[in-house]
Amino acid sequence: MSTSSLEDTMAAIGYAKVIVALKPVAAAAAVTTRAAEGAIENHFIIPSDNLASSLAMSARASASRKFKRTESLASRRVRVYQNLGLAIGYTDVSGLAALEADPQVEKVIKAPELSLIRPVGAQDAKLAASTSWGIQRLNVEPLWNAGYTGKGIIVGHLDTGVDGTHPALQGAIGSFAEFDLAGDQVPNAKATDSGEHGTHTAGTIAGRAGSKGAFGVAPEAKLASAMVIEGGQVIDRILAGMDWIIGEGARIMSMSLGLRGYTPAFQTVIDALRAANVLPVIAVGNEGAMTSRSPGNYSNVLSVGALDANDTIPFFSGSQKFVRPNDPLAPDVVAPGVGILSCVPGGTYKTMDGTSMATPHVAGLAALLLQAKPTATATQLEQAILGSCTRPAGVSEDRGNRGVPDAVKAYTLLTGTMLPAAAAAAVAPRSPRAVGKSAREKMPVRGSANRTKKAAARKRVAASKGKASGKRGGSKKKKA
Amino acid sequence: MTDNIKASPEWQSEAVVKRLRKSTAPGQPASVQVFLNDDVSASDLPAKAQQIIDDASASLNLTPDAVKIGKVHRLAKSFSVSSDDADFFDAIAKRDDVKSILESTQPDILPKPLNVREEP
Repeated sequence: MSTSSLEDTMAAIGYAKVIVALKPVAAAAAVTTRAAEGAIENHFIIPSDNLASSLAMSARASASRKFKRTESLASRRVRVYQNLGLAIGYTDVSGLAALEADPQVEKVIKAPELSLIRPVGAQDAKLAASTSWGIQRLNVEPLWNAGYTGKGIIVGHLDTGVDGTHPALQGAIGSFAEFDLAGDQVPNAKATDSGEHGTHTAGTIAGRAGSKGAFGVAPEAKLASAMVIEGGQVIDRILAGMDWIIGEGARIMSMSLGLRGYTPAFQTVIDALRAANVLPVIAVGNEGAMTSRSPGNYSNVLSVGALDANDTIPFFSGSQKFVRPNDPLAPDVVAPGVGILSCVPGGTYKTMDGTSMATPHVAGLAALLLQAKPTATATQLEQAILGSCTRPAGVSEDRGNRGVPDAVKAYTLLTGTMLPAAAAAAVAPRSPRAVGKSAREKMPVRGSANRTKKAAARKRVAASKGKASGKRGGSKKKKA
Repeated sequence: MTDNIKASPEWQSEAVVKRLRKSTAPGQPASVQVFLNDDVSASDLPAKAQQIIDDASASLNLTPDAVKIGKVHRLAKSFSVSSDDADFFDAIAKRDDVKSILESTQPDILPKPLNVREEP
Protein backbone atom coordinates (compact mmCIF):
# COMPACT_ATOMS: atom_id res chain seq x y z
CA MET A 1 0.00 0.00 0.00
CA SER A 2 1.39 3.36 -0.91
CA THR A 3 0.78 6.57 0.96
CA SER A 4 -0.38 9.82 -0.57
CA SER A 5 3.00 11.31 0.34
CA LEU A 6 4.67 8.65 -1.76
CA GLU A 7 2.32 9.33 -4.64
CA ASP A 8 2.93 13.05 -4.34
CA THR A 9 6.67 12.54 -4.51
CA MET A 10 6.33 10.24 -7.50
CA ALA A 11 4.16 12.80 -9.24
CA ALA A 12 6.58 15.61 -8.46
CA ILE A 13 9.94 14.10 -9.31
CA GLY A 14 9.18 10.71 -10.83
CA TYR A 15 10.82 8.59 -8.18
CA ALA A 16 11.00 8.16 -4.43
CA LYS A 17 12.99 6.41 -1.77
CA VAL A 18 10.85 3.65 -0.32
CA ILE A 19 10.87 1.16 2.49
CA VAL A 20 9.46 -2.19 1.46
CA ALA A 21 8.13 -4.51 4.12
CA LEU A 22 8.71 -8.05 2.94
CA LYS A 23 6.39 -10.86 3.85
CA PRO A 24 8.00 -12.90 6.62
CA VAL A 25 8.17 -15.98 4.42
CA ALA A 26 9.99 -14.13 1.66
CA ALA A 27 12.50 -12.55 4.00
CA ALA A 28 13.28 -15.82 5.70
CA ALA A 29 13.43 -17.85 2.51
CA ALA A 30 16.39 -15.99 1.03
CA VAL A 31 19.63 -17.76 1.84
CA THR A 32 21.67 -14.58 1.83
CA THR A 33 21.02 -10.87 1.86
CA ARG A 34 22.28 -10.64 -1.71
CA ALA A 35 19.83 -13.32 -2.77
CA ALA A 36 17.02 -11.38 -1.16
CA GLU A 37 18.15 -8.23 -2.92
CA GLY A 38 18.41 -10.03 -6.23
CA ALA A 39 14.83 -11.20 -5.99
CA ILE A 40 13.42 -7.69 -6.01
CA GLU A 41 16.29 -5.65 -7.44
CA ASN A 42 14.61 -5.03 -10.78
CA HIS A 43 11.88 -3.01 -9.13
CA PHE A 44 14.41 -0.41 -8.01
CA ILE A 45 16.32 2.31 -9.81
CA ILE A 46 19.30 4.60 -9.30
CA PRO A 47 17.72 7.92 -10.16
CA SER A 48 20.81 9.98 -10.96
CA ASP A 49 24.47 9.68 -11.79
CA ASN A 50 25.26 11.61 -8.64
CA LEU A 51 23.44 9.10 -6.53
CA ALA A 52 25.02 6.24 -8.45
CA SER A 53 28.49 7.52 -7.63
CA SER A 54 27.50 8.27 -4.09
CA LEU A 55 26.09 4.77 -3.62
CA ALA A 56 29.14 3.25 -5.22
CA MET A 57 31.43 5.29 -3.03
CA SER A 58 29.64 4.37 0.17
CA ALA A 59 29.44 0.77 -0.94
CA ARG A 60 33.16 0.72 -1.62
CA ALA A 61 33.81 2.25 1.78
CA SER A 62 31.63 -0.40 3.43
CA ALA A 63 33.27 -3.12 1.40
CA SER A 64 36.73 -2.07 2.40
CA ARG A 65 35.73 -1.85 6.03
CA LYS A 66 33.71 -4.98 6.43
CA PHE A 67 32.41 -6.99 3.59
CA LYS A 68 35.36 -7.38 1.24
CA ARG A 69 33.00 -7.63 -1.69
CA THR A 70 34.50 -8.01 -5.10
CA GLU A 71 31.49 -7.62 -7.33
CA SER A 72 30.42 -4.36 -8.91
CA LEU A 73 28.99 -2.32 -6.11
CA ALA A 74 27.72 0.45 -8.30
CA SER A 75 24.84 -1.69 -9.44
CA ARG A 76 23.45 -2.34 -5.99
CA ARG A 77 20.10 -0.66 -6.20
CA VAL A 78 18.39 -2.03 -3.12
CA ARG A 79 19.51 -2.96 0.35
CA VAL A 80 17.67 -5.71 2.20
CA TYR A 81 17.74 -5.95 5.96
CA GLN A 82 16.81 -9.57 6.43
CA ASN A 83 16.48 -9.43 10.16
CA LEU A 84 14.08 -6.56 9.90
CA GLY A 85 12.28 -7.96 6.88
CA LEU A 86 12.75 -4.62 5.12
CA ALA A 87 14.20 -3.45 1.85
CA ILE A 88 15.19 0.16 1.08
CA GLY A 89 15.91 1.78 -2.24
CA TYR A 90 14.69 4.19 -4.88
CA THR A 91 11.87 3.26 -7.22
CA ASP A 92 9.87 4.92 -9.95
CA VAL A 93 6.21 4.65 -10.91
CA SER A 94 6.53 1.35 -12.75
CA GLY A 95 8.80 -0.06 -10.07
CA LEU A 96 6.27 0.89 -7.43
CA ALA A 97 3.51 -0.86 -9.30
CA ALA A 98 5.69 -3.94 -9.67
CA LEU A 99 6.56 -3.88 -5.99
CA GLU A 100 2.94 -3.61 -4.99
CA ALA A 101 2.09 -6.55 -7.23
CA ASP A 102 5.03 -8.66 -6.04
CA PRO A 103 3.84 -11.56 -3.88
CA GLN A 104 6.91 -11.20 -1.65
CA VAL A 105 5.96 -7.64 -0.72
CA GLU A 106 3.67 -6.83 2.15
CA LYS A 107 3.64 -3.06 1.82
CA VAL A 108 5.54 -0.10 0.41
CA ILE A 109 5.92 3.18 2.22
CA LYS A 110 7.87 6.33 1.52
CA ALA A 111 11.19 6.38 3.34
CA PRO A 112 11.52 9.31 5.72
CA GLU A 113 13.55 12.11 4.17
CA LEU A 114 15.76 12.76 7.12
CA SER A 115 17.78 15.35 5.27
CA LEU A 116 14.71 17.54 4.92
CA ILE A 117 14.24 17.96 8.64
CA ARG A 118 15.21 21.56 9.17
CA PRO A 119 17.04 22.30 12.40
CA VAL A 120 15.44 25.07 14.38
CA GLY A 121 17.48 25.17 17.53
CA ALA A 122 20.96 24.91 18.88
CA GLN A 123 22.52 21.60 17.95
CA ASP A 124 24.72 19.29 19.84
CA ALA A 125 28.37 19.69 19.17
CA LYS A 126 31.66 18.04 19.63
CA LEU A 127 34.59 20.08 20.77
CA ALA A 128 37.12 20.69 18.07
CA ALA A 129 40.72 21.32 19.02
CA SER A 130 40.33 24.83 17.64
CA THR A 131 38.46 26.76 15.04
CA SER A 132 40.36 28.60 12.33
CA TRP A 133 40.55 32.36 12.50
CA GLY A 134 38.88 32.53 9.13
CA ILE A 135 35.81 30.71 10.33
CA GLN A 136 35.65 32.92 13.40
CA ARG A 137 36.09 36.07 11.35
CA LEU A 138 33.18 35.21 9.09
CA ASN A 139 31.03 34.49 12.17
CA VAL A 140 30.22 31.02 10.92
CA GLU A 141 29.85 29.11 14.18
CA PRO A 142 26.33 30.32 14.99
CA LEU A 143 25.19 28.80 11.71
CA TRP A 144 26.87 25.51 12.61
CA ASN A 145 25.19 25.62 15.99
CA ALA A 146 21.85 26.04 14.24
CA GLY A 147 22.59 22.95 12.15
CA TYR A 148 23.76 24.62 8.97
CA THR A 149 26.94 22.79 8.10
CA GLY A 150 26.55 22.50 4.33
CA LYS A 151 24.84 19.14 4.54
CA GLY A 152 23.16 18.24 1.28
CA ILE A 153 24.97 20.96 -0.66
CA ILE A 154 27.35 20.31 -3.55
CA VAL A 155 30.06 22.87 -4.16
CA GLY A 156 31.82 22.84 -7.51
CA HIS A 157 35.59 23.07 -7.09
CA LEU A 158 37.87 23.69 -10.05
CA ASP A 159 41.52 23.47 -9.14
CA THR A 160 44.60 21.29 -9.31
CA GLY A 161 42.57 18.32 -8.10
CA VAL A 162 42.06 17.05 -4.58
CA ASP A 163 43.62 14.34 -2.47
CA GLY A 164 40.58 12.21 -1.69
CA THR A 165 42.53 10.11 0.78
CA HIS A 166 43.27 12.98 3.14
CA PRO A 167 41.70 12.35 6.56
CA ALA A 168 40.28 15.86 6.60
CA LEU A 169 38.37 15.20 3.38
CA GLN A 170 36.82 11.85 4.20
CA GLY A 171 33.25 11.99 3.02
CA ALA A 172 33.78 15.40 1.46
CA ILE A 173 34.33 14.37 -2.15
CA GLY A 174 30.95 13.80 -3.74
CA SER A 175 32.42 13.38 -7.19
CA PHE A 176 35.69 13.95 -8.95
CA ALA A 177 36.66 14.51 -12.55
CA GLU A 178 39.93 14.73 -14.34
CA PHE A 179 40.09 16.07 -17.87
CA ASP A 180 42.65 14.98 -20.41
CA LEU A 181 44.58 17.18 -22.80
CA ALA A 182 41.63 17.36 -25.15
CA GLY A 183 39.24 18.40 -22.40
CA ASP A 184 37.61 14.96 -22.29
CA GLN A 185 36.85 13.39 -18.95
CA VAL A 186 39.20 10.61 -17.90
CA PRO A 187 37.10 7.56 -16.98
CA ASN A 188 37.24 6.32 -13.41
CA ALA A 189 39.73 8.95 -12.33
CA LYS A 190 40.65 8.82 -8.66
CA ALA A 191 40.53 11.95 -6.57
CA THR A 192 44.15 13.07 -6.65
CA ASP A 193 45.89 16.42 -6.64
CA SER A 194 48.43 17.36 -9.30
CA GLY A 195 49.81 19.89 -6.82
CA GLU A 196 48.65 20.90 -3.37
CA HIS A 197 46.64 24.03 -4.11
CA GLY A 198 43.42 22.12 -4.80
CA THR A 199 43.53 20.03 -1.65
CA HIS A 200 44.13 23.17 0.38
CA THR A 201 41.21 25.08 -1.12
CA ALA A 202 38.97 22.00 -0.89
CA GLY A 203 39.78 21.74 2.81
CA THR A 204 38.75 25.35 3.39
CA ILE A 205 35.39 24.73 1.75
CA ALA A 206 34.49 21.38 3.23
CA GLY A 207 37.32 20.02 5.39
CA ARG A 208 36.20 17.91 8.29
CA ALA A 209 37.48 18.81 11.76
CA GLY A 210 40.30 16.72 13.14
CA SER A 211 43.61 17.00 14.89
CA LYS A 212 44.21 20.45 13.44
CA GLY A 213 40.84 21.72 14.51
CA ALA A 214 38.04 23.00 12.33
CA PHE A 215 39.04 24.84 9.17
CA GLY A 216 36.35 23.79 6.68
CA VAL A 217 33.62 26.42 6.52
CA ALA A 218 30.97 23.93 5.37
CA PRO A 219 32.17 20.73 7.04
CA GLU A 220 29.30 18.58 5.86
CA ALA A 221 29.11 19.87 2.29
CA LYS A 222 30.27 17.73 -0.60
CA LEU A 223 32.57 18.76 -3.39
CA ALA A 224 32.21 18.15 -7.07
CA SER A 225 35.91 18.59 -7.66
CA ALA A 226 37.54 18.78 -11.06
CA MET A 227 41.26 18.65 -11.77
CA VAL A 228 41.58 21.35 -14.41
CA ILE A 229 45.18 22.42 -13.88
CA GLU A 230 47.92 19.99 -14.70
CA GLY A 231 49.92 21.77 -17.36
CA GLY A 232 48.84 21.69 -20.98
CA GLN A 233 45.55 22.77 -22.53
CA VAL A 234 44.34 24.32 -19.32
CA ILE A 235 41.68 26.47 -20.95
CA ASP A 236 39.98 23.45 -22.49
CA ARG A 237 40.03 21.74 -19.14
CA ILE A 238 38.62 24.67 -17.24
CA LEU A 239 35.73 25.05 -19.66
CA ALA A 240 35.05 21.32 -19.48
CA GLY A 241 35.17 21.51 -15.68
CA MET A 242 32.62 24.31 -15.58
CA ASP A 243 30.31 22.31 -17.79
CA TRP A 244 30.80 19.24 -15.61
CA ILE A 245 29.95 20.86 -12.28
CA ILE A 246 26.59 22.00 -13.61
CA GLY A 247 25.82 18.39 -14.47
CA GLU A 248 26.91 17.34 -11.00
CA GLY A 249 24.26 19.55 -9.44
CA ALA A 250 26.61 22.13 -7.95
CA ARG A 251 24.94 25.45 -7.15
CA ILE A 252 28.16 27.16 -6.09
CA MET A 253 31.48 27.16 -7.95
CA SER A 254 34.71 27.91 -6.13
CA MET A 255 37.54 28.74 -8.50
CA SER A 256 40.82 30.12 -7.24
CA LEU A 257 42.38 30.73 -10.63
CA GLY A 258 42.31 33.16 -13.51
CA LEU A 259 44.35 35.00 -16.10
CA ARG A 260 46.18 38.17 -15.15
CA GLY A 261 44.50 41.28 -16.46
CA TYR A 262 41.18 41.46 -18.21
CA THR A 263 39.97 39.23 -21.01
CA PRO A 264 36.32 38.89 -21.99
CA ALA A 265 36.95 35.31 -23.11
CA PHE A 266 35.19 33.69 -20.17
CA GLN A 267 32.17 35.99 -20.11
CA THR A 268 29.93 33.64 -22.06
CA VAL A 269 30.62 30.65 -19.86
CA ILE A 270 30.19 32.72 -16.70
CA ASP A 271 26.86 33.94 -18.09
CA ALA A 272 25.93 30.32 -18.70
CA LEU A 273 26.76 29.40 -15.11
CA ARG A 274 24.58 32.23 -13.85
CA ALA A 275 21.80 31.16 -16.17
CA ALA A 276 22.10 27.67 -14.69
CA ASN A 277 21.65 29.21 -11.22
CA VAL A 278 25.25 28.57 -10.18
CA LEU A 279 27.05 31.20 -8.09
CA PRO A 280 30.63 31.63 -9.35
CA VAL A 281 32.93 32.55 -6.45
CA ILE A 282 36.30 33.48 -7.94
CA ALA A 283 39.64 34.80 -6.67
CA VAL A 284 40.70 38.28 -7.74
CA GLY A 285 44.41 37.43 -7.82
CA ASN A 286 47.62 37.98 -5.87
CA GLU A 287 49.30 40.77 -7.79
CA GLY A 288 48.31 43.64 -5.50
CA ALA A 289 46.48 46.94 -5.92
CA MET A 290 45.48 48.00 -9.44
CA THR A 291 45.57 44.42 -10.65
CA SER A 292 43.06 41.62 -11.04
CA ARG A 293 42.51 38.37 -12.89
CA SER A 294 39.80 37.21 -15.26
CA PRO A 295 37.15 35.96 -14.72
CA GLY A 296 37.45 37.01 -11.07
CA ASN A 297 37.14 40.63 -12.20
CA TYR A 298 33.84 40.24 -14.06
CA SER A 299 30.86 42.15 -12.74
CA ASN A 300 28.66 39.05 -12.54
CA VAL A 301 30.90 36.86 -10.40
CA LEU A 302 31.35 37.01 -6.64
CA SER A 303 34.93 38.20 -6.62
CA VAL A 304 37.04 37.64 -3.52
CA GLY A 305 40.12 39.39 -2.18
CA ALA A 306 42.14 38.63 0.94
CA LEU A 307 42.06 39.94 4.49
CA ASP A 308 44.51 39.28 7.30
CA ALA A 309 43.84 38.63 10.98
CA ASN A 310 44.46 42.30 11.81
CA ASP A 311 41.61 43.30 9.52
CA THR A 312 43.89 44.84 6.95
CA ILE A 313 44.21 44.06 3.28
CA PRO A 314 47.50 42.29 2.59
CA PHE A 315 49.73 43.87 -0.03
CA PHE A 316 49.25 41.01 -2.47
CA SER A 317 45.45 41.08 -2.64
CA GLY A 318 44.32 42.23 -6.05
CA SER A 319 41.94 45.15 -6.53
CA GLN A 320 40.96 47.13 -9.58
CA LYS A 321 38.41 49.69 -10.69
CA PHE A 322 36.77 49.30 -14.07
CA VAL A 323 34.79 51.71 -16.16
CA ARG A 324 31.47 49.92 -16.20
CA PRO A 325 28.07 50.81 -14.83
CA ASN A 326 27.60 47.69 -12.74
CA ASP A 327 29.91 46.69 -9.99
CA PRO A 328 32.94 48.72 -11.09
CA LEU A 329 35.18 47.49 -8.27
CA ALA A 330 36.84 44.12 -7.95
CA PRO A 331 36.91 42.32 -5.60
CA ASP A 332 33.33 42.41 -4.32
CA VAL A 333 34.30 41.23 -0.86
CA VAL A 334 37.37 40.32 1.13
CA ALA A 335 37.73 37.21 3.28
CA PRO A 336 40.42 35.55 5.37
CA GLY A 337 43.41 34.89 3.15
CA VAL A 338 46.52 35.12 5.32
CA GLY A 339 47.88 32.32 7.49
CA ILE A 340 45.13 29.96 6.35
CA LEU A 341 45.60 26.44 7.64
CA SER A 342 44.19 23.63 5.56
CA CYS A 343 45.01 20.16 4.36
CA VAL A 344 47.53 19.25 1.66
CA PRO A 345 48.22 15.91 0.00
CA GLY A 346 49.87 13.20 2.00
CA GLY A 347 47.79 13.62 5.12
CA THR A 348 49.58 16.78 6.14
CA TYR A 349 48.68 20.43 6.60
CA LYS A 350 50.05 23.79 5.56
CA THR A 351 49.27 27.43 6.06
CA MET A 352 49.16 29.59 2.96
CA ASP A 353 48.39 33.18 2.03
CA GLY A 354 46.50 34.22 -1.06
CA THR A 355 43.18 35.20 -2.53
CA SER A 356 42.98 31.52 -3.46
CA MET A 357 42.60 30.86 0.25
CA ALA A 358 40.01 33.62 0.73
CA THR A 359 37.77 32.41 -2.09
CA PRO A 360 36.84 29.00 -0.63
CA HIS A 361 35.87 30.68 2.64
CA VAL A 362 33.16 32.57 0.77
CA ALA A 363 32.14 29.51 -1.24
CA GLY A 364 31.78 27.57 2.01
CA LEU A 365 29.66 30.35 3.46
CA ALA A 366 27.44 30.24 0.38
CA ALA A 367 26.98 26.50 0.98
CA LEU A 368 25.79 27.09 4.54
CA LEU A 369 23.34 29.70 3.32
CA LEU A 370 22.05 27.45 0.57
CA GLN A 371 21.39 24.72 3.11
CA ALA A 372 19.46 27.27 5.18
CA LYS A 373 17.37 28.21 2.15
CA PRO A 374 17.60 25.54 -0.53
CA THR A 375 15.24 27.43 -2.81
CA ALA A 376 17.50 30.48 -2.89
CA THR A 377 18.73 31.53 -6.30
CA ALA A 378 22.38 32.22 -6.96
CA THR A 379 21.55 35.91 -7.07
CA GLN A 380 19.80 35.75 -3.70
CA LEU A 381 22.81 34.00 -2.18
CA GLU A 382 25.10 36.60 -3.64
CA GLN A 383 22.97 39.50 -2.47
CA ALA A 384 22.80 38.08 1.06
CA ILE A 385 26.58 37.75 1.20
CA LEU A 386 27.17 41.20 -0.26
CA GLY A 387 24.59 42.76 2.01
CA SER A 388 26.14 41.21 5.09
CA CYS A 389 29.51 42.84 4.58
CA THR A 390 31.14 45.44 6.74
CA ARG A 391 34.30 47.19 5.65
CA PRO A 392 36.79 47.28 8.53
CA ALA A 393 37.93 50.66 9.76
CA GLY A 394 41.03 51.69 7.92
CA VAL A 395 40.28 49.62 4.81
CA SER A 396 39.64 51.75 1.76
CA GLU A 397 36.75 51.02 -0.54
CA ASP A 398 39.15 50.64 -3.45
CA ARG A 399 40.98 47.80 -1.70
CA GLY A 400 38.22 46.12 0.28
CA ASN A 401 35.06 47.21 -1.55
CA ARG A 402 32.12 46.07 0.61
CA GLY A 403 34.34 44.45 3.23
CA VAL A 404 33.97 41.17 5.06
CA PRO A 405 30.84 38.99 4.98
CA ASP A 406 29.08 38.04 8.20
CA ALA A 407 27.41 34.64 8.17
CA VAL A 408 24.69 35.52 10.66
CA LYS A 409 23.74 38.73 8.89
CA ALA A 410 23.74 36.94 5.56
CA TYR A 411 21.46 34.26 7.01
CA THR A 412 19.02 36.89 8.22
CA LEU A 413 19.09 38.72 4.91
CA LEU A 414 18.51 35.51 2.99
CA THR A 415 15.84 33.90 5.12
CA GLY A 416 14.17 36.95 6.64
CA THR A 417 14.43 35.25 10.02
CA MET A 418 16.78 35.36 12.96
CA LEU A 419 18.89 32.43 13.98
CA PRO A 420 17.58 30.60 17.05
CA ALA A 421 18.77 32.53 20.08
CA ALA A 422 20.78 29.67 21.52
CA ALA A 423 22.70 29.26 18.29
CA ALA A 424 23.31 32.95 17.83
CA ALA A 425 24.53 33.27 21.40
CA ALA A 426 27.31 30.74 20.92
CA VAL A 427 29.51 33.10 19.00
CA ALA A 428 33.21 33.62 18.90
CA PRO A 429 34.85 36.93 19.65
CA ARG A 430 35.25 38.77 16.39
CA SER A 431 37.54 41.65 17.08
CA PRO A 432 40.74 41.12 15.12
CA ARG A 433 42.88 40.70 18.22
CA ALA A 434 40.53 38.21 19.79
CA VAL A 435 40.15 36.13 16.69
CA GLY A 436 42.27 33.07 16.88
CA LYS A 437 42.37 32.99 20.65
CA SER A 438 39.03 31.33 21.10
CA ALA A 439 39.96 27.74 20.61
CA ARG A 440 36.87 26.03 21.85
CA GLU A 441 34.12 26.76 19.46
CA LYS A 442 31.84 23.96 18.63
CA MET A 443 31.21 22.12 15.49
CA PRO A 444 28.28 19.81 14.96
CA VAL A 445 29.36 16.21 14.73
CA ARG A 446 26.98 13.32 14.72
CA GLY A 447 27.18 10.80 17.48
CA SER A 448 28.63 12.80 20.32
CA ALA A 449 27.73 11.58 23.75
CA ASN A 450 24.39 12.66 25.14
CA ARG A 451 25.90 13.91 28.31
CA THR A 452 28.27 16.17 26.42
CA LYS A 453 25.42 17.35 24.24
CA LYS A 454 23.19 18.26 27.13
CA ALA A 455 25.98 20.01 28.96
CA ALA A 456 26.85 22.01 25.86
CA ALA A 457 23.23 22.95 25.29
CA ARG A 458 22.86 24.03 28.92
CA LYS A 459 25.96 26.20 28.58
CA ARG A 460 24.59 27.88 25.50
CA VAL A 461 21.23 28.55 27.03
CA ALA A 462 22.91 30.00 30.10
CA ALA A 463 25.08 32.14 27.88
CA SER A 464 22.09 33.40 25.94
CA LYS A 465 20.31 34.40 29.13
CA GLY A 466 23.33 36.33 30.26
CA LYS A 467 23.66 38.31 27.04
CA ALA A 468 21.93 41.48 26.19
CA SER A 469 19.96 41.38 22.99
CA GLY A 470 23.11 41.01 20.98
CA LYS A 471 24.01 43.22 18.07
CA ARG A 472 24.86 40.13 16.10
CA GLY A 473 21.91 39.07 14.02
CA GLY A 474 19.98 41.97 15.48
CA SER A 475 19.26 43.67 12.22
CA LYS A 476 16.11 42.77 10.41
CA LYS A 477 16.96 44.91 7.43
CA LYS A 478 16.24 43.13 4.21
CA LYS A 479 18.23 43.80 1.13
CA ALA A 480 16.18 44.86 -1.82
CA MET B 1 25.95 40.11 -20.18
CA THR B 2 29.08 41.96 -21.10
CA ASP B 3 31.14 44.44 -19.18
CA ASN B 4 32.15 46.26 -22.39
CA ILE B 5 35.72 46.49 -21.27
CA LYS B 6 38.58 46.27 -23.68
CA ALA B 7 40.89 43.36 -23.10
CA SER B 8 44.21 44.07 -21.41
CA PRO B 9 46.99 44.63 -23.95
CA GLU B 10 48.40 41.13 -23.41
CA TRP B 11 45.04 39.54 -24.24
CA GLN B 12 44.25 41.53 -27.33
CA SER B 13 44.29 39.34 -30.41
CA GLU B 14 47.27 41.08 -31.96
CA ALA B 15 49.37 40.36 -28.87
CA VAL B 16 48.24 36.74 -28.72
CA VAL B 17 49.05 36.22 -32.41
CA LYS B 18 52.43 37.89 -31.92
CA ARG B 19 53.28 35.40 -29.20
CA LEU B 20 52.00 32.54 -31.35
CA ARG B 21 54.33 33.59 -34.15
CA LYS B 22 57.22 33.09 -31.75
CA SER B 23 56.03 29.76 -30.41
CA THR B 24 55.00 28.06 -33.65
CA ALA B 25 57.19 26.74 -36.42
CA PRO B 26 56.74 24.09 -39.10
CA GLY B 27 56.23 20.84 -37.20
CA GLN B 28 55.83 22.73 -33.93
CA PRO B 29 52.12 23.44 -33.60
CA ALA B 30 50.39 25.54 -30.98
CA SER B 31 46.88 25.18 -29.69
CA VAL B 32 44.51 28.07 -29.35
CA GLN B 33 41.16 28.49 -27.66
CA VAL B 34 38.76 30.45 -29.83
CA PHE B 35 35.88 32.28 -28.15
CA LEU B 36 32.95 33.30 -30.32
CA ASN B 37 30.57 36.19 -29.94
CA ASP B 38 27.45 35.78 -27.82
CA ASP B 39 25.15 35.98 -30.84
CA VAL B 40 26.48 32.70 -32.22
CA SER B 41 23.90 30.04 -31.52
CA ALA B 42 25.13 27.25 -29.26
CA SER B 43 23.38 24.67 -31.40
CA ASP B 44 25.20 25.93 -34.49
CA LEU B 45 28.54 25.91 -32.75
CA PRO B 46 30.14 22.77 -34.22
CA ALA B 47 29.20 23.83 -37.74
CA LYS B 48 30.31 27.39 -37.06
CA ALA B 49 33.66 26.22 -35.70
CA GLN B 50 34.22 24.08 -38.77
CA GLN B 51 33.27 26.95 -41.05
CA ILE B 52 35.72 29.29 -39.32
CA ILE B 53 38.49 26.74 -39.66
CA ASP B 54 37.66 25.97 -43.26
CA ASP B 55 37.56 29.66 -44.19
CA ALA B 56 40.87 30.38 -42.51
CA SER B 57 42.49 27.29 -44.03
CA ALA B 58 41.20 28.17 -47.50
CA SER B 59 42.48 31.72 -47.26
CA LEU B 60 45.97 30.37 -46.62
CA ASN B 61 45.77 27.35 -48.92
CA LEU B 62 46.41 25.03 -45.98
CA THR B 63 45.93 21.32 -46.38
CA PRO B 64 43.27 19.74 -44.14
CA ASP B 65 45.91 17.97 -42.05
CA ALA B 66 47.62 21.29 -41.23
CA VAL B 67 44.86 22.10 -38.78
CA LYS B 68 43.34 20.01 -36.04
CA ILE B 69 40.12 20.95 -34.27
CA GLY B 70 39.77 20.09 -30.60
CA LYS B 71 36.85 20.10 -28.24
CA VAL B 72 33.85 22.31 -28.84
CA HIS B 73 32.41 23.83 -25.66
CA ARG B 74 28.84 24.90 -26.30
CA LEU B 75 28.44 26.46 -22.87
CA ALA B 76 31.42 28.73 -23.44
CA LYS B 77 30.80 29.14 -27.19
CA SER B 78 34.38 28.15 -27.68
CA PHE B 79 36.53 25.58 -29.39
CA SER B 80 40.19 24.72 -29.50
CA VAL B 81 42.23 24.34 -32.64
CA SER B 82 45.89 23.61 -33.27
CA SER B 83 48.16 24.46 -36.17
CA ASP B 84 51.80 25.21 -36.81
CA ASP B 85 50.93 28.21 -38.98
CA ALA B 86 50.54 31.44 -36.99
CA ASP B 87 48.86 33.12 -39.96
CA PHE B 88 46.02 30.66 -39.52
CA PHE B 89 45.42 31.98 -36.00
CA ASP B 90 45.67 35.53 -37.29
CA ALA B 91 42.99 34.81 -39.88
CA ILE B 92 40.68 33.43 -37.21
CA ALA B 93 41.31 36.27 -34.77
CA LYS B 94 40.36 38.87 -37.39
CA ARG B 95 36.88 37.49 -37.98
CA ASP B 96 33.93 39.51 -36.76
CA ASP B 97 32.31 36.51 -35.12
CA VAL B 98 35.38 35.77 -33.01
CA LYS B 99 35.42 37.56 -29.65
CA SER B 100 38.90 36.56 -28.57
CA ILE B 101 41.57 33.94 -28.84
CA LEU B 102 43.86 32.69 -26.11
CA GLU B 103 46.74 30.28 -26.10
CA SER B 104 45.30 27.01 -24.81
CA THR B 105 48.20 26.50 -22.46
CA GLN B 106 48.42 29.14 -19.79
CA PRO B 107 51.30 28.65 -17.40
CA ASP B 108 50.22 31.48 -15.09
CA ILE B 109 46.56 30.78 -14.50
CA LEU B 110 46.98 29.75 -10.88
CA PRO B 111 47.71 32.63 -8.51
CA LYS B 112 50.64 31.31 -6.53
CA PRO B 113 50.06 31.18 -2.77
CA LEU B 114 52.53 33.09 -0.65
CA ASN B 115 54.21 32.19 2.65
CA VAL B 116 53.53 28.49 2.32
CA ARG B 117 54.48 26.84 5.59
CA GLU B 118 54.34 23.27 6.80
CA GLU B 119 52.18 22.72 9.85
CA PRO B 120 53.86 20.25 12.17
